[in-house]
Amino acid sequence: MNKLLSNLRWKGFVVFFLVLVGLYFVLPNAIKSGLESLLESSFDARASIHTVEIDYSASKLKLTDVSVADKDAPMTNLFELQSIVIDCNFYAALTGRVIIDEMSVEGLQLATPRTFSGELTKPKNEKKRYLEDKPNGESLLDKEFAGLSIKKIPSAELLLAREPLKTTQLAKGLNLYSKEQVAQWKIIESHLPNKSSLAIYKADIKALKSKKIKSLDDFKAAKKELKALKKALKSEKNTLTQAKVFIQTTSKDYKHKLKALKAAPEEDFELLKSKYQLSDSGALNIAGLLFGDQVQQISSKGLSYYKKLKPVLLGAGIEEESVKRLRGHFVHYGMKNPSVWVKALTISGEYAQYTFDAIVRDMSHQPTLIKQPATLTLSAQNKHNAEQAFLINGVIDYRDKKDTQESLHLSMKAYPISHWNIVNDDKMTIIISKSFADAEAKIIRQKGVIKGSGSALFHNVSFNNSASNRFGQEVASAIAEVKSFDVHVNVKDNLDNFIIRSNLDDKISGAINARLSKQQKILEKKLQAGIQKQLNKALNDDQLISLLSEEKSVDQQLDDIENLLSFELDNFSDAEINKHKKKLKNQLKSLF
Amino acid sequence: MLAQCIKFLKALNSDAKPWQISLGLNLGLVAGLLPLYTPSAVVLIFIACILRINMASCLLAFAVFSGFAWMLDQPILQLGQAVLYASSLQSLFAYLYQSDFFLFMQFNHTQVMGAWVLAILLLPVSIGLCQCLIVTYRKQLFAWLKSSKIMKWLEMNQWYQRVSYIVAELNDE
Repeated sequence: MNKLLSNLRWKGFVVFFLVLVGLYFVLPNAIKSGLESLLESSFDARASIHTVEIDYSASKLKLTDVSVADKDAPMTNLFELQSIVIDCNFYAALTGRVIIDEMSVEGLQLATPRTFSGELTKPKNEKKRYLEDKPNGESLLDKEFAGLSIKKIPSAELLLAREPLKTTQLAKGLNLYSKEQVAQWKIIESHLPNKSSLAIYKADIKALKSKKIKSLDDFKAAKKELKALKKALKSEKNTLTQAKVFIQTTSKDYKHKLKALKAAPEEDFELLKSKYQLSDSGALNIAGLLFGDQVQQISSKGLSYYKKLKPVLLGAGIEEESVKRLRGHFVHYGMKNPSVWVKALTISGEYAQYTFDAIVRDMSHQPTLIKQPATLTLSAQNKHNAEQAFLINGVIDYRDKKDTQESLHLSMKAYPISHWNIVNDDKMTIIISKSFADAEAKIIRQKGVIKGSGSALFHNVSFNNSASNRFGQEVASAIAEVKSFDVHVNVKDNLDNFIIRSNLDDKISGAINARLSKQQKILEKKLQAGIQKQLNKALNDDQLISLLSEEKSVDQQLDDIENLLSFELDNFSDAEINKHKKKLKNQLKSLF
Repeated sequence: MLAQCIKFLKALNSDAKPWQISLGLNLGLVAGLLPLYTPSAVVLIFIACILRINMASCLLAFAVFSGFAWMLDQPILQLGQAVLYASSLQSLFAYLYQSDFFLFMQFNHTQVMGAWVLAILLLPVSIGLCQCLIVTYRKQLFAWLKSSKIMKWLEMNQWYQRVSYIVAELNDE
């Protein structure tokens, strides 16, 4: 025994003890910074923990003043809480497992303002990508519901100015073509014979015809003169023929272009109509938004928090066989206990005018080992009258990987609604000034397929409406008569694919549809008028039309020249030659 | 590193027992092969602290084999993976997996298991070799070296005198 003890280095024990004492003091700070960096990497935003206290005797860990910023709104906290007390199993922690018997969260507040930005400093490239994901600072949730937004109907003038119309393009092309052809015609026209030059030719021929030929020399001189005249006339004929061909080609092209231009307005109109169609589905979206605004706000908030917290709390809900760590990974065999298990999590806090209490049970990324689904119960009370506002029961069941199931059941009784802005337009404002809602909703996602339904009864409704135009006043006054209405929601396949029905819809959908169709007609008329105006502008091109009308006069001139060339000169020469031949024969006979 | 080498040489030439130096070297070998921030490595460091082994040889071996582990990272990982996934050992590991010691030591981690298997394979050879070399060195080589011309020449060398001075300074500390 003494020999064994003599082989021990007691200084080593002291050193190790000192290291442990050092760890005792350093560990809270190490946990603090570790948790902060874990939260920051999980939520992609700045996180802070004021203090971390460890009670070794009671095996409890206490975190105070925890806040995590919202990455989509850096000047707001995603959540803030006063304290978290974790009753954890230290022995399990030594064996690499996180078993939390009870975790209580107190003073939870959502969307509280921050004094400094919660955005994490990122590498340049990453930041750029992040910004690309959020054009114009649009939040992810805004993107999700972007498809449901009401699109303001654009004016016809705006559409005509904004859209690259085929009519405009073709009209511009025709205008350019016209300018080019007219310029070219002016050059050709300057070389064409005019009426006076033709008269000169006629006078010359007439003079030649009336000229008395007494001798052979006279004849030769006349023939030479005639030949020169003929050459000049042929040159004029060529010029006129070229002009005629030019006019014919221009006419053919013009007709072709005009045909395309005339067809363009209809094509443009159809294109614009299809692009800016106020379809039934669009109207349904509008109607859906009219009634689903409040529900949308609440559910969108809940959905966004669920999406943000789910990967953190449940590790995406899927048990992983191996977790990458260090350079290798852990291999798990038939385990009795899960590596992470939060048996009970209680949360209490405030949001808007409500205080709420939530209990989450059996959170683990290995639900097959704990053999029970994670459950959530959230109840909210009104701060002022302490009455229950709503109750939510949720179940997340990933025990069977092939048959995962998430369900949420919402129950609301006399949920007070005030100042619910249903329509806020320049011309009309419809506000539910006071109402109460009783609602029941259930949504289930099984094997990735979402099914759900819900119904809400709004009672003791009082409206506060105003409208600037007659139509709006009529609609507003019609709605003001309604004292109660119900809303039914059906969800299929995904949360964006939902149908909202309401009996209030029956009362005002007709009026809204009439309004929409009226606006559609006005828009169509304005579009047609605008396009026609542009077409008329393109068609009123006097220069080209006058150019095309020149063809007749060119033809007339050609005919005149043909006459001069073929008839008058031919007759003159044959007759004179015969006459002279006869005369010469007689002279020859008299000689013998 | 230089200080550790000098201390190791000093230990070799001192009256420290061969098993102390040998155990120090072998503990350093295992701790060096293991990933540093694992409970296994911490336990080994604790053992090295409390046992009267030669610390200089332990730290020297730890530094040298940490370098080896870094170079043999991938083969160690593959070895651990092969062992942990070996079908014939599944029932054994499933049984051991239920023990807290197995989980605490993270034997189910591929890198840790690979390092342990390699260390276990190397240890018998290493223990025997270290013991043998130290004894042989002390019996034959040290006396021969001391009387060799090279050693005498070295003793006269200015550089050797400086190193000796440093060693003496360290010893005083």
